[in-house]
Amino acid sequence: MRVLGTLLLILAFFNDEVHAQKKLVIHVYEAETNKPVSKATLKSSSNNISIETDLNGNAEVLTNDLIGADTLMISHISYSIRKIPISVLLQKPKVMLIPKTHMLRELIIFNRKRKTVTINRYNKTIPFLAGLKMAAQRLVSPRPGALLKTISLERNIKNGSNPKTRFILHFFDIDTDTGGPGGELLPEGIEVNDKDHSKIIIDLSDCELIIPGKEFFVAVEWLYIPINQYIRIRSEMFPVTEYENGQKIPWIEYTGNPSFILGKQGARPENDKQFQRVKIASGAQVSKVNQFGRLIEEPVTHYQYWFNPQLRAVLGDGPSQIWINDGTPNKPKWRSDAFRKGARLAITATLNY
Amino acid sequence: MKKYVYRIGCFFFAVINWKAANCQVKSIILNRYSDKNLFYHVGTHTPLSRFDYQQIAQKFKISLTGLVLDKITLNRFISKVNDTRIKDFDRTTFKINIHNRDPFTSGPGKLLNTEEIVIADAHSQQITVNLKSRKIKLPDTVFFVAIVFLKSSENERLVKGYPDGSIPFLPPVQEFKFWPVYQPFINMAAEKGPVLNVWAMDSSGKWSLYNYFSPDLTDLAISAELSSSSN
Repeated sequence: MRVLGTLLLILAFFNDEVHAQKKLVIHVYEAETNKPVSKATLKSSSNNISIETDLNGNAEVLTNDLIGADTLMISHISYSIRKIPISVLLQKPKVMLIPKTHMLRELIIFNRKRKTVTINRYNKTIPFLAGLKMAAQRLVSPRPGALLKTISLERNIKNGSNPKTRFILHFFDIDTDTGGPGGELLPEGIEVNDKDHSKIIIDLSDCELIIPGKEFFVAVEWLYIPINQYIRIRSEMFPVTEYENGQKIPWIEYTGNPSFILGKQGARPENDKQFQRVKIASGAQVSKVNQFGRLIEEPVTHYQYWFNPQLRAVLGDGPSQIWINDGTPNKPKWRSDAFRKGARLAITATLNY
Repeated sequence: MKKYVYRIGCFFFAVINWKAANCQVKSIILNRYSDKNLFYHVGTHTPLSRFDYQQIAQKFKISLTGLVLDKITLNRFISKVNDTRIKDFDRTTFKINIHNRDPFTSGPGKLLNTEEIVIADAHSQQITVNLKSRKIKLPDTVFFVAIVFLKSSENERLVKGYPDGSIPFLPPVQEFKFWPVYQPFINMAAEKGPVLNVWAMDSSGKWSLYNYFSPDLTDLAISAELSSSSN
């Protein structure tokens, strides 16, 4: 009888485990005062959830109810509506609401005028790296809950080459563990198309994008599509090599690999002893040398494609403010970029706070 | 008597109509493109795709039949590099073929030019080919102008890729192979049309639509000037 009772207890315990659902408490605050906002409505994009915050600005939802929803919409009569990705809320269940314009008028009476600020201003820029999946610039707002108005981005346009560009602009919260980009603040980002501006200004007024904390990231995602491609033609010096019968090897028969110098760029014959050990292509035995025993080189013209936009960066002091995502498998998604000391991307943000 | 008058009337009506139809066509220019903002070209391997085609063709559509192809103007990529070591990058010799429409594939079909049309050029971005003396009559309302790439050392240009044939997004620093492509690199027209009109012939001789730039660009920068056969 005692055994049966124990069994029943165990069963009951497991039954509870099966039915137990994880709760998520979402805290809603006013961005300027940090006071809790009660009676704010939370609705999920899948329409499974429609609840209100309590007097402490808290709303409790079951994580199971969030399945199938991408975003949670938080609305209140006195505040601007916010849409936040579920993925962001699961990491950080804190929402900051900013008062609507008619409320701001009241705030003016109390001498609390909203300010506009442009952050990450710069002067002299240099070209930034190419061939990445994404590059993100860390930006710091003067206050949490600021409204992002515009992004301005500087890029290189070479005279005569394709100036057209199409890319995706992403906005990320900060990942508190890594200090790099975290959850995406605007699902799927914004597609930007530009014909020929070296400074692209993106108006974000329609997005109502509120930065929850002080720190955030603005990232450019390159699209490797024909519309972004441009060609560069260059000439490179290569040692002239002959077959044993004295016939010159055509350049298209050259295959370089790490065992011989042809595969290396920037090697100089006077500085690099390896340069004397040239063995190229099957059947090639000798490299052509001059009367002093030096390798004879010839300029080889070849072309390469690059993809717009070619961003520009600013140099400075301290650690780099740029994070990159090169899409390499088996590597952390984002890593701090050691491009140059104190480097920042030439991206400015205008905020209302 | 009435019958004869009617027949004579019909004959004159037909003659007038034929004259009208033909005399209206002093000169028509098809696929008239702007020579500004030509930033894209065909004929090269890119990191996105290899270009292993023998010919590339522009499709033209007209409302009349029996017209004559007088002139072709094409625009191609020119290097514009300030490096004295880069010589003869733009030099090329290529052929032009005029095709009828293949009734089964709707792509290029029967050859309409009886003689070879060979063009040699060293540095022109825009090349005009006068075909008046060749009297190429267009029997259908659709025809194609094809550029034939000649795989000669004169036309050969190089791209640094990997030995497996792929072209990397960044220059390969260790293992690489020079892969050849062949001039001319024909520009794409900046104006976008409602349908894709570019066809390419692969190494097996099969024609198919060339959709590398789709949907952003639809036509090659090749225009055709036609006139009526009476001119």
